[in-house]
Amino acid sequence: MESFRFIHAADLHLDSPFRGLANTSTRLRDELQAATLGAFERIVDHTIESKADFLLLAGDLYDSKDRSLRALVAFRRQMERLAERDISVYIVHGNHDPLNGWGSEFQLPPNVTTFSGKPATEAVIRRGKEVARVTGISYARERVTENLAAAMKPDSDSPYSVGLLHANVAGQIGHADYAPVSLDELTASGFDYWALGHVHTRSVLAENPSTVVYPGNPQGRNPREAGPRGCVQVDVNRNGDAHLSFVETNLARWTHLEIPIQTHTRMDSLINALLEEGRIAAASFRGPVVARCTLRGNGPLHADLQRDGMAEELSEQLRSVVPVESVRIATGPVLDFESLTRTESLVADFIKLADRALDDPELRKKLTDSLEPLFRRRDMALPDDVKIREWVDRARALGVDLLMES
Amino acid sequence: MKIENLRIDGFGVWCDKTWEALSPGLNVFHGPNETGKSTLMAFIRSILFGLDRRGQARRYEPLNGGTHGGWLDVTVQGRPVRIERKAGKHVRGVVSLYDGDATGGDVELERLLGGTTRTLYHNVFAFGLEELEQFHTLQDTEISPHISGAALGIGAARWTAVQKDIEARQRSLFLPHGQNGVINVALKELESVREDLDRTEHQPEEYWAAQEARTRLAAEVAGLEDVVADLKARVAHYEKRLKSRPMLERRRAIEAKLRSMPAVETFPEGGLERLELLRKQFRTLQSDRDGLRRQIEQRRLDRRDLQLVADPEETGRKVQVLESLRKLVPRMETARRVYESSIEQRRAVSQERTAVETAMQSTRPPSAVAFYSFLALLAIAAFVVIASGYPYVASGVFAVMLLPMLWYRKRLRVFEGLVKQSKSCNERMQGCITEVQRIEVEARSIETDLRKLTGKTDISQEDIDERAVEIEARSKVAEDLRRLDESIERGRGDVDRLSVQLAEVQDAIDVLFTEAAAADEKEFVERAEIFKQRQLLISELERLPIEPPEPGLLFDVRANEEEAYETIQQELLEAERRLVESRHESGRVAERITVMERSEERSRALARQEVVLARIDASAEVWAVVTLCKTLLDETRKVYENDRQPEVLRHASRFFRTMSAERYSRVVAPLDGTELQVERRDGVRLLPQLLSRGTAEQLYLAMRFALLRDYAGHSDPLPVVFDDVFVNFDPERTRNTFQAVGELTETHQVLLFTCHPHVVALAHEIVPTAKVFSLE
Repeated sequence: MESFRFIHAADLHLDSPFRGLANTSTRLRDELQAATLGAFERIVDHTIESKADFLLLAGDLYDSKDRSLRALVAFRRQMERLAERDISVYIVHGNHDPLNGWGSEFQLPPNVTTFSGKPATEAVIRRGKEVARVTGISYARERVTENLAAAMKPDSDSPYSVGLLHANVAGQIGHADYAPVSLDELTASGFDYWALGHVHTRSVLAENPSTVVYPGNPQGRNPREAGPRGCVQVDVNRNGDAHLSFVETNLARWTHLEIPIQTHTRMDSLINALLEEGRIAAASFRGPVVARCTLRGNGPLHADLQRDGMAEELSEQLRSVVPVESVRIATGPVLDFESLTRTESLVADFIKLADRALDDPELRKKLTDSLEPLFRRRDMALPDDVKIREWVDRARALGVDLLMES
Repeated sequence: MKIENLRIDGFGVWCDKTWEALSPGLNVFHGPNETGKSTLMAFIRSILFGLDRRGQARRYEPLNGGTHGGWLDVTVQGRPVRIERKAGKHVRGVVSLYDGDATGGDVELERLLGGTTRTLYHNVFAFGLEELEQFHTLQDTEISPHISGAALGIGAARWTAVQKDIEARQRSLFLPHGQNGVINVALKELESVREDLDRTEHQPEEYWAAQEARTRLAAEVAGLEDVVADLKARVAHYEKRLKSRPMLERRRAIEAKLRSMPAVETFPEGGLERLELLRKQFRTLQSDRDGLRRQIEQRRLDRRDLQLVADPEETGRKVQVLESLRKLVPRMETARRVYESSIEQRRAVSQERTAVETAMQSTRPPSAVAFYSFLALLAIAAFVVIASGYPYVASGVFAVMLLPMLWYRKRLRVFEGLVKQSKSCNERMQGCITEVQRIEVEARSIETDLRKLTGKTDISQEDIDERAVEIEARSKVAEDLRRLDESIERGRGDVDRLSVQLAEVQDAIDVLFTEAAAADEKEFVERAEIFKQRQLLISELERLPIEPPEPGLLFDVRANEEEAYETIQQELLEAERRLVESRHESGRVAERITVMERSEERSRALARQEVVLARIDASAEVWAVVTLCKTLLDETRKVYENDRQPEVLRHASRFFRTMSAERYSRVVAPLDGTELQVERRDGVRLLPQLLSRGTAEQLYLAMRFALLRDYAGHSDPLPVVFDDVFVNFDPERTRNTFQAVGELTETHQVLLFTCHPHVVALAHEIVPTAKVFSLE
């Protein structure tokens, strides 16, 4: 067989909004707002520069619900660039841009093949020879809960079979369980390469002979999508072995700064540590690095950190070295909760109550009910248990702080 | 802690006094007033918590001698310990603790007391009526926590402050119907962002619609362009037709005229002009020949005349005479001139001679004698004068004599010159006369010659000239004759030549006629005119554009051409107008599409939404923490009221219920630090101030009992001392109260001081193990 090269990207989420740029400069905000578009442009740049034979896009190219014309227009422009160079593009739609969603009828140049809601196979012809076949299927609607991969079968005479799919493999947590499929099913399916999308974090689930890859999204958009983001370049040699290389495409990176306060007794030393972390983060990437910083741990500075506007003050400080999404203070006082609970006191009662808060269904309901006024709003869903646990811990620290304050 | 023995060295009225073997339960100390009951209670307090300040009555300085102080033998968790205190350097006195072999001081004592403070002991453990009545005022002091939240480690004020703090925090972030909370503000902003989003939500539909419109308009424009092109072709066609119609008619007229005219297809180039020229040549040649002929005739007549005039001999003779005459004339002239000048000279000399003679007569001088005589006279005169003695006059006279002498000498010289001149004149006169005679001879010789030649005596120059002209004329006529002969001969030659030329011209004219197919000149001219007209018509015809055939336009254009032209022009204008409109519309749509494609409005709105959501998110987290904290605190309060509070107040309630004979059911201490309240059996809550004195004291006592019970739960309780606290109780309630005291002795050692024998009896009755000490 021929050796060839292709680029695999997914979850472009073009023009989807960036999280938490409230206090950044307008220029940076605009720059970041266009970052998803810029990252995709880099993918296309790379596709052209690396002389790749084709480009695979595994769903969630844009968010239908955002109805962003800019996303579609930008996407078409990039497709046209590839069309000019006669580079084929294979697309499946995912849960954010399903076929019945807004925008899927947008006209694209003829080099783009968009798979329908039924599995289909397309031959990739390069330099007059068939190098591979791409089999793909799009989401006909947002919620696809059946196993789409099961319907996809490689041709036995295909030189190299690529499966293009937007799916949740092995129930990845934190992602809607759409088109669920197990890794074993994929590796046993006969496809040489599974070009997946859906999970935003890059991961190679299996490599040669059957390679299964989530390239991750090309541009992180919120603190959860921290670290380098990009696409995957796949070089297939004459033996049909795939060699993967990651290509970072993000214009800006997100980063999480976790600052423990335990060792700091003075505010200036804490700020120095904060700035140092900020500088390291800023220097780690040639573009903007947007930081979310969380102060954690129980330390002597906890009480100082509870002052009103402290988070904003620290944000301001940190902003001098790195763009900041927010500074969050999740610290606790230096208290021996254990021994406090052994005393016969209101504080002890309070701590005991907080500690069993989530285990006691009645109390748990009271607590979640108290959050209702704000969290019953649309798009303000109650977070998961981990988060609530963290909140209760912080509430405990706050309560103890207040009760013990003399 | 139980007191075993009491030993006072000196304290108030007491001196060197010991009470031994106290009951671990109830001990009643009985004695009348002034026997030192209160002093004894103060002693116990002082040993445990120190002496009062110096100068204060309660310091109880010894009144009856002995060292100020004493000791208590106590049992602490089964261990005997002696606590000794003596007045010393420290205001509170010096403590010595003997715990087995170990000794200690303040620190060890404090540990023994288990954290109970002096104030607490004074108010809760060892008190008299005075402290009992003051109980409610202690709520703000150290005791207060023991009643409200105090037992739980915080003060009521703190609790209230915490509540306020939490609520303020909540409020600053979010209130369900608030306006100013950070989240409330952000939510409001979110609404405005959502409005923007809603507004731009249909932008994409507009975009698709615009795309469709663009396609539709492109087709429309293309269609209209075709229509316009077709109409333009038709209009052009009509225009051409209409413009070419008069020409077509003219063409037809010309063609008809040409047909009606003789067919003079060719004509010599410039025929008429050429004929005219030949005719003119002919006439010129003819007139030239006639002129020449007349000239020859005239010259022949001239020659005949001249032949008559000319004779050569006569002419020769006349030439000879003239030659001779010409020689004589100068001689004659010369002779005449010399003669005249000689006559003139003779007359001039004669005149000169007359003038000289006249001058000589006037200038002749006087004779010498006369003159000298005169002089002599003068000289004599002079001498006479001298002689007469006038010498000076004499000298004057001599001087005068000199002047006539000078005058005389000059006159003499002029006269001599004139004489000489007169002689010269006479000589010259003689010469002139001789000359005249010689010329007269010459003149006579010339006269003779002349006569011979002309017969006249005189000859003038005019005569000579006349004769010369005559001779000249005679020679010229001869020349003229010769020349005439030549001219006549030449003229005859010319005439012959012209005749030849005339014949040639006539030939040329004949040729021209032949070319024009004309018999004569008249016909020639007619044909020339016809040819000219035909040529004009043909050239006009050639200039008229010939209508080309129109492919594809087979409609009939002859019928109402103008009207059809008008109509189709209107149609064209309309179609063009529609085309322009469609193009404009198409342009506008294209622009709108571009604008929409470039529009970042929605992206910005979405981004702004994220910004607001992030802000809400961050604040919501804080709010959630604060709210959870508040909920937890509320729950803690409920736990306190339902579980914890009864620990203190349930006992109090029970004691109070007992003491008040079930009239009151409950004591309630709100956690927010507001005053204690009692709940009557009927559920009505009352403040203690509203209770009767006795009931109030029962309430306070019940509270103390409860607190004491509570303390019993977590430490080895200190002994309790009551100093006559039942004085205001009615018998039933006193009895009831003793029930409670009896219950208390299960956990606490109780020392009860009283001056009332019925109390002692009641104590015995209700608590049979009570030990009674008389203070008398």
